[in-house]
Amino acid sequence: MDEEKRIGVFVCHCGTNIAGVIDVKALAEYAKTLPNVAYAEDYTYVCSTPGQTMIRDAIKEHNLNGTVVAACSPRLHEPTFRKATEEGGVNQFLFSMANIREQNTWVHMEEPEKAMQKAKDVVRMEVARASMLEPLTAKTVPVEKAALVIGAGIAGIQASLELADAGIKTYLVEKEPSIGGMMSRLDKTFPTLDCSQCILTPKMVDVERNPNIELMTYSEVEDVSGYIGNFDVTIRQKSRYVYEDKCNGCGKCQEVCPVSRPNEFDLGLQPRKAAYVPFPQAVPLKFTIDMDSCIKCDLCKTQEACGDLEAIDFDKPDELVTVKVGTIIVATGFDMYDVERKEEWGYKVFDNVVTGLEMERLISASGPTGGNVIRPSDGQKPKSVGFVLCAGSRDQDEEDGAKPYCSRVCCMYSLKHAHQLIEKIPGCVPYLFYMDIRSFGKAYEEFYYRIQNEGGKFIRGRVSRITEDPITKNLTVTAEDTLLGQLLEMELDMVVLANAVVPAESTQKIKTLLTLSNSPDGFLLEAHPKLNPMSTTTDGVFLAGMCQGPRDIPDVVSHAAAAAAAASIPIHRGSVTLEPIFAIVDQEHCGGCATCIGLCPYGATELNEVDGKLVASVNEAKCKGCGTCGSGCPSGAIKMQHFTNEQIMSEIEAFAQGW
Amino acid sequence: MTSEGMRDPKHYQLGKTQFDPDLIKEVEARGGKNAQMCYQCGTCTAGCPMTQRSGLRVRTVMRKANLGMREVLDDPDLWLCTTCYTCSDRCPRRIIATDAIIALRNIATQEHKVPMSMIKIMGSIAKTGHGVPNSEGNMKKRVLLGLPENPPTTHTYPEYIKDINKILEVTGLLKIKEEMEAESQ
Amino acid sequence: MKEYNFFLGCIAPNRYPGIEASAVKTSRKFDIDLQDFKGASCCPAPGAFGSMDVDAWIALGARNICLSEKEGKDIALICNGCYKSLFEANHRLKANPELKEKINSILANIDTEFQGSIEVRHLIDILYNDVGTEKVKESVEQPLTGLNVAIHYGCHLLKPKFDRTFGSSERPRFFDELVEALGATSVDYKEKMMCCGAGGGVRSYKVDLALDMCNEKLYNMVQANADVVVNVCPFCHLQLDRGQVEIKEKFGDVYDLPVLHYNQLLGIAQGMNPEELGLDAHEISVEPLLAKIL
Repeated sequence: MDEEKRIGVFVCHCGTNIAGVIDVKALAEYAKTLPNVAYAEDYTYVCSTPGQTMIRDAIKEHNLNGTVVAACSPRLHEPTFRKATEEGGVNQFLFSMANIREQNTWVHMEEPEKAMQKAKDVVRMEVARASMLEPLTAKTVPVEKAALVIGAGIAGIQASLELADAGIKTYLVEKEPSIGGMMSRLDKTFPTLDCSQCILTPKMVDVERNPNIELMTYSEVEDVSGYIGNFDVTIRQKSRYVYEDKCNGCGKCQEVCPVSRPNEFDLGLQPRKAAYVPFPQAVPLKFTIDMDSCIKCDLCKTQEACGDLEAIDFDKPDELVTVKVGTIIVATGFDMYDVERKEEWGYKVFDNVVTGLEMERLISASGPTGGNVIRPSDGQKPKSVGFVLCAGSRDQDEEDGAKPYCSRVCCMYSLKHAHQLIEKIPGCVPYLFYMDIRSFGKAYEEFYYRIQNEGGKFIRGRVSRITEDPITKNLTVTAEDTLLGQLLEMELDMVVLANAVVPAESTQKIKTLLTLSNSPDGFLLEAHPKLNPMSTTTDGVFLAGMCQGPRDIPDVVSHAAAAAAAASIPIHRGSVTLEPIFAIVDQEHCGGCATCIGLCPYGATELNEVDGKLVASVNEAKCKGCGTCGSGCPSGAIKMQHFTNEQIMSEIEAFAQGW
Repeated sequence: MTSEGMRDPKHYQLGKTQFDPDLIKEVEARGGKNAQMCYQCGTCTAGCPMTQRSGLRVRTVMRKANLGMREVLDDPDLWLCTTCYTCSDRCPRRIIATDAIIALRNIATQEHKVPMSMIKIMGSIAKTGHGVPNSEGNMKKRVLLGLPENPPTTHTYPEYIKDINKILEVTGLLKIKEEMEAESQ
Repeated sequence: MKEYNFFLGCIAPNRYPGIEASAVKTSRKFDIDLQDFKGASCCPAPGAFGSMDVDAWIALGARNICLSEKEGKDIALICNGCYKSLFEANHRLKANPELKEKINSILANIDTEFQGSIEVRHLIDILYNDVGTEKVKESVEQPLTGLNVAIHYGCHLLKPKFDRTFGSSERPRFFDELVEALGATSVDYKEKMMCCGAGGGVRSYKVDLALDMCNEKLYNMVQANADVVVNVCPFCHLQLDRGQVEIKEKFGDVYDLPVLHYNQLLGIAQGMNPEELGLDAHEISVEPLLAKIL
């Protein structure tokens, strides 16, 4: 430790991101004046191959034993420069990064002089810190050869099949009684018009048959502990009050059940029994008894119904199952915007105003009307149907809970509905009220042409209000045709509100369990929006599908396959390297007071008896390096590696020297 | 020679259209929040009770303001908004279009393009403190109800009226009133 | 007894004093003391005056608020226009330090400074949220059973919703509940939330258009078999009442639909006589209405 410190400082221009605001050459010259700095240089892109070579060569040439790169955020390129440092023959933890882009030139571009001063401060601080850094050795841990997928819509199904096919044991957990998710509710899919059931149900059956997939429906993840490679997951298998191994799916329990309540799968458009499967093609085809509405009449248990199968047990409890997995994929999907909050459109007030998903059920061959589109008010076929696009999307009205982003599916499914109405009901005219038609995918714009050619009418204007004739239940839609500059008050038979997709309520719990974040739109935050949209900031946890943001089926499938590929890498490698940034306890000074046990948010601290004395220790793999325990330790016995008191104090002192 | 409705070829010219990009900034500064966010969906015009009975088109006003077409300030229909705020409550861009219209009226006032009916209301406030002052007939009604002839407002305490005039003076409104009254004579 | 400075505005004291009188009398039953607010002026009219200069509008509104701040009393008022001026001025000045500084620099000329120490409340808000419909119901001595009421909320009570506390302006219920608490029936009518047409300076600028809007509202109310239109804004009240005379003159349409401020309707239900509520001073006779309920 006592060898002379020889630090190299590398200042990145980042094109004009940094160099356009501050004088990078002057900054490098300034760095040369700092204590322990043996070398300083600037370069256009330090992260590029020549830039990294520059670091490697400078270490050898100038006999450096520490490096500082003044560039972007460590979140972006700390791994890059650590690697370059290591390649130069210096322990990678003797590198320190000065962020002069995100926290400086990007936010202070109007004040270049102050930005320069701040850049000097940060470089001085990081040089001081680099002088105090200690070499550390990364730790390698084995990875459990199994994965968990949460959510069994098309995203979770796809991810599970990919993992299973790669030879990985996969636990697929779904909170509903059947897998299939939102896609199982759809009739046809745009723009190819293949039927959703035809392309989804075979995959659902594959899931059930695949020996590498352990399917857990009507189940929820209750707890997750551990870390990449070694997650311990507790899953609550909610009681169906039916033994899955005994139920043969005959449906006799459903036939005799006297209870009737709205079927959630059909959005309440038709009833189900208390003993039910959500839809006939459900996987698994096992019945569930909804105890909230069951009247315990026991008819389902009689000889005419379940009888000798004895599959039904009203006292069957929930079960808690624990599994160990190496990686986790979150595929918890989305909800639909509660468009009732847009009171001007009268959803749930006027019978013939429906949502996009309700139209999907009304138009679906497997839906409550067998695919005959009818008006809810009188069962008549609608001859004119309005579509309100961007119903809660591209809308900044926070009071109504609307969403500023584009939901990316509504234009296309509304076009598809328009096509289906024209096809199914002779003479029916669909009117699409739009601001922009976003048909950006493969063969999407062509699909838009097709609907235009079939007679769909496109009105550029947003619907201001819908009113209802109390007798005919016809709707009057008020909008401006902004291309004509003319007020329209159109009497229509029916209106479909193409409501926004929104982050799923149920994702919140998973987010907390896995210490994930969300982006400002409320969807789960990816590791990088462009280069790593399927990973998260929690190692070993990946994202698939709509939980990360609105996307259509082809994009969901691609995203899910990408997540599966990413999740399989640590498993196939068999081991992962952990950051040595964890706390260590000096057991000689530890008084065994257990303060740190209560403080640790990750359950990484524990109290053990060593040589007849109670002392704390830290589970290196569970520790996230937050330092909370160290700051709370009354005897100062806990050291946060890579962020020691001395290292932090040296930074503060260096900062103070500039003022 | 050109026939009516046609343009003399020598008047065809490029670059004739001129916009003032500062207009919308002034609108925002005077309270027309988010006005630049307008995406011309027409929700405002469609919900406006004046659309069907007048020439006022809120979306078009927003369009002209956003492009910087100062002619919008000369439009007599600008003064037909009853400030019911229906457009604003339904706007998906959280623009308070009514306040944008009020901001445009404020700018028009600075250019002496405010209707005299408004100036008259200001005059009444400057004189009595009330936009609608008390009347002889009303005094009798008040007394019958057991109320004093005049309410306990500036009508009873006229000493407060000088403060009102001071505010009208320092905000420049009195000057506009006097100038416009002189112009109209 | 909760004390408020009673901000009168212009139309109530100077055209419909019955609205002023009924507010004071009916409020006493709920231990609300509406006190003389000395030196108050026009709010000033939000549409007409605010259209000329928003800063001057806020400054004149703030002058009124500051008078009450000096007495340490919250303001209660009974007019949607006054509500817009004073509630918004108060709200914006409290929320926006830059605006407060700007307005205070104007007010410095009259040795006044806005503090932000009081609240501005519409009496309908106090009745609904502080008194509650149950107590309003208990105060009824003469239930208005069988009376069909067309409720006119008025725009500036509810909108813009970002600057208010009542929630969505599309299908509000609180005023309906206060009317129903008196035993009357609130009838639904076409374009119920539509503007009366008077605001924004339009009544003085283009009275025909203002009346055309009013005409549509009155027609829809009568179609719904309303016996009376009830409002909480003297300016809407004037437009709906006086407007009927003008509509008859200009367009020949006759409705003879009585118009009451809620405080007057409440007064009738509390057993007060029509004279002490100033009902005889209305342009449209309220006799048919009184005959139906008394």
